Amino acid sequence: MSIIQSIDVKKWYGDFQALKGITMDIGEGEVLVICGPSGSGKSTFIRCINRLEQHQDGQIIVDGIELTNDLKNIEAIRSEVGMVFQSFNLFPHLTVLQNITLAPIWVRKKSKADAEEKAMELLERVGIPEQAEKFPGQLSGGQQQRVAIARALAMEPKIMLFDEPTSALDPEMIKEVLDVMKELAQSGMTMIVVTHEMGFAKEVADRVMLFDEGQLVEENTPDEFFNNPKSDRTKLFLSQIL
Amino acid sequence: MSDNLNTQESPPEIQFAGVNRWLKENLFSSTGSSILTFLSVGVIIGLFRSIIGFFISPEREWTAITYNLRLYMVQAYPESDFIRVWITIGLVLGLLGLTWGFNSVSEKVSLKSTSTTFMKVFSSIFFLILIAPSTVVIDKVEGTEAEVLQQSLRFYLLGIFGILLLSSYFIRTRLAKQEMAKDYLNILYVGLLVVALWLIKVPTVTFDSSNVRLDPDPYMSLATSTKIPWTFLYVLLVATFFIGKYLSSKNIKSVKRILPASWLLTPLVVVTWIYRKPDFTMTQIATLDLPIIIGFSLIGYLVINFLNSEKLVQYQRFFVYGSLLIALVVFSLPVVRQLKLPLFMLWILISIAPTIANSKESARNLFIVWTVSIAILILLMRGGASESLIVVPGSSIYGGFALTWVIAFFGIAISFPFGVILALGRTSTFPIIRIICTALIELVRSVPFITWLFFGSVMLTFFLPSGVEFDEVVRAVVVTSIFSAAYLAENVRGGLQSISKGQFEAADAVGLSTLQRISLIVMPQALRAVIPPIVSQVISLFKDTSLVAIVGLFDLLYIGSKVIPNQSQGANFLGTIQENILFCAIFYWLFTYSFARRSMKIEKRLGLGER
Ligand SMILES: Nc1ncnc2c1ncn2[C@@H]1O[C@H](COP(=O)(O)OP(=O)(O)OP(=O)(O)O)[C@@H](O)[C@H]1O
Ligand SMILES: [Mg+2]
Repeated sequence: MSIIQSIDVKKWYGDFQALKGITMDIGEGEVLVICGPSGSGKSTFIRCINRLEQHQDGQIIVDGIELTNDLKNIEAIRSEVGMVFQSFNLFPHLTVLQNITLAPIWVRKKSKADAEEKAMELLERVGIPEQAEKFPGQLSGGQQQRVAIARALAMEPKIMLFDEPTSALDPEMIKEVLDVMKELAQSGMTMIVVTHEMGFAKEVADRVMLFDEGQLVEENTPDEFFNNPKSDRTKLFLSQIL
Repeated sequence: MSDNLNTQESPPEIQFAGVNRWLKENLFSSTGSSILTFLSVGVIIGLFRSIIGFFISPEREWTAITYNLRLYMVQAYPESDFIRVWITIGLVLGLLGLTWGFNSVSEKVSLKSTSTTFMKVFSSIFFLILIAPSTVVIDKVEGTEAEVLQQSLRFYLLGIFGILLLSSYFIRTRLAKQEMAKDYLNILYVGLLVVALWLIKVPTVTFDSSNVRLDPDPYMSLATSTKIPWTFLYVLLVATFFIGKYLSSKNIKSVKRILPASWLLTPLVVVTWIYRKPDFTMTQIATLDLPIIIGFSLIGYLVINFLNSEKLVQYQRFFVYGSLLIALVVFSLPVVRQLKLPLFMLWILISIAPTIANSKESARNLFIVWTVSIAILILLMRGGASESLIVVPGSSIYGGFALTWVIAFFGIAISFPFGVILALGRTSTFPIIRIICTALIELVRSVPFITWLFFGSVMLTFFLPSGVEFDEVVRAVVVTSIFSAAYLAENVRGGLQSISKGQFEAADAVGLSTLQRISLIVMPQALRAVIPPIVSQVISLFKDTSLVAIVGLFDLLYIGSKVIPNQSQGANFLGTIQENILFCAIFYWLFTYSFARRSMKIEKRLGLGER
């Protein structure tokens, strides 16, 4: 049973075609890693899934709802899909706790007490309960990214999107964020992760995909992808980054 | 060993560098800088002496100020109604005390820093007395001099401040470790101000039984000569402070809601109570207003509790447009005024109710807010529409500082939401809204304020439907708010631009609606970023209120520059323009400076999130 269906999705920025027909199915609980060279359309694609970008052709169906211009659908999908950004994008004027409880209170209409209880649970889960009252600017990059993950999880999403969650981090902080993501993957969350962390892909991904110039060039199990890739493009890519 | 990870070192203490070292490093680091230091100290002392000399010269008629303080404050407000002013000020002060006490934090300040402040103040005064001139030149040509400060008085004053200086030095060295609650310290400061009012004596114009001015003018303490019950007000403030503290210790939740609501009401109460004495009967209220209030309250109850239901919420936009249409139609019909505005409020309620009333508790709160505001609105309209029983000679009862603050306060209060909306409109993606807002901002900004004031006072009547007349003051307030809203909009727009795209995306990604994104994420950050320009705008608005004199209103500065210097009846103050202008300048400065100080503190506190 697939939770995300993408059928021949195309997207243009002006005259430039960033996505040239992406077709894929993602099953519930599946962990999908997308990699590919810079500018290949990875971000563009996963941002189409929660409609931060609009695709112009093709269909995207998330949890049975097709993404159209209907505001109701978009809001429904956004509360089912959590997103973690490369640059964290925490709200700097709110404390960590407020960052996490904001959407549950205003979108999910939870009471403040419930939302805070849940938020503390999540902070516990990402390993920084003691930072609840601090402001984002007072945290390290790794801590901020973990707060961002907690913020996305607070909406109890069915799907989590990660757009290069570790590429703005120092090496020692990468591990703490990846650990949280691994734990999340093992708990059965459906995840789409754009990353260049090949260790993560080998360890937790169910499938690995390679994007190039707006196209899906290879789709494979991690084993096959790294040891026995189908396309030459993948071989070239792997030789460049490994 | 493993404990090592947890042990925290305390930060190194900053050592007091010592006066000598400071002097040496900053003022006497080289021959050149020493010469500069001596020269500038000489110039500053000379400047001080001439300024002090100017102030205490016998040529100055400061009685022009003390005699006319009432004129400055309220212009021609009838004396028989003064009690209304005092009761209102008392109410505001009482509310202030309650809020202060209720929110009082157990923050402590060390006696060391407090006494250092006192030392600075006392030593400055000591120094000023020391260098004050004993005589001033009165006639430059003939070189006549007048004695302004007797040596004995100087030594007397030096003695007093010397003792004060020494005792604060004593506290600083001996009791440095002691602490004091910050709130008590503030009470002490205000108290010292009141004591000073009793101690400082000023010449006061007095007439004997046959209406001849006494000569020389007797000296009276400021507290009595201004005829303001300062001491009583102070006691009231302190008493309510402790009541507020008591309430907060009892942890009564409702006070938390009542206090902000009362603050919102205060300006209305002040305006209706001080500026008007509405003439209406209770039967009017009982037969017409009460039923309307109850009716709208009921409709509000239905809207809040049922519009939220699954079935109806999908038709919400029809309700919104429908109620707006009804409000517009009724507005143009000849029905009682009390029905018109509430219908627009109902429209707003229908638009916001499903978003705000998302839980039982917030639905109840919204209902309370709705009923109270409808009741206030309707009662205000009743009061506003009836004749005022306060009769004054001349055109308007608003004058002096009472006029200045009304224009400044309402100008700011109205222009703020309006400016924010304009800024949002100008950055909107809807072309029509953007064009309208941009055009409005540019139009308003490109014509001088004075021109708009004239426009408001002379030409507005042509554009309004016949029969609609506004008081001159209302027009000035409207013009001021629109003008300042345009500038505010540009400031806010600057703040909006400083917010990164990532913030918008993050807000979208967690599922916030557009309205929530703007009010919870974008605006708080944008406004924080533009506090400094907004503060300067508020300050200049406060000062620009003096321009309303151009359309015939008697503001503080006009009274000081034109009215009092032409006074010859009663006491003769012809030509006292220097004293009056100086007084006005100091008066404006006191307000703007304390506002600037206050906002610096707020900025510091809010800056916490930006680190
Ligand atoms: N807002 C935009 N306007 C115009 N072109 C854009 C925009 N966003 C992305 N592009 C272009 O679309 C292409 C795909 O961009 P995308 O951000 O999806 O790449 P990516 O695979 O995520 O690369 P990276 O690994 O560097 O993040 C790039 O060539 C980029 O220049
Ligand atoms: Mg990218």
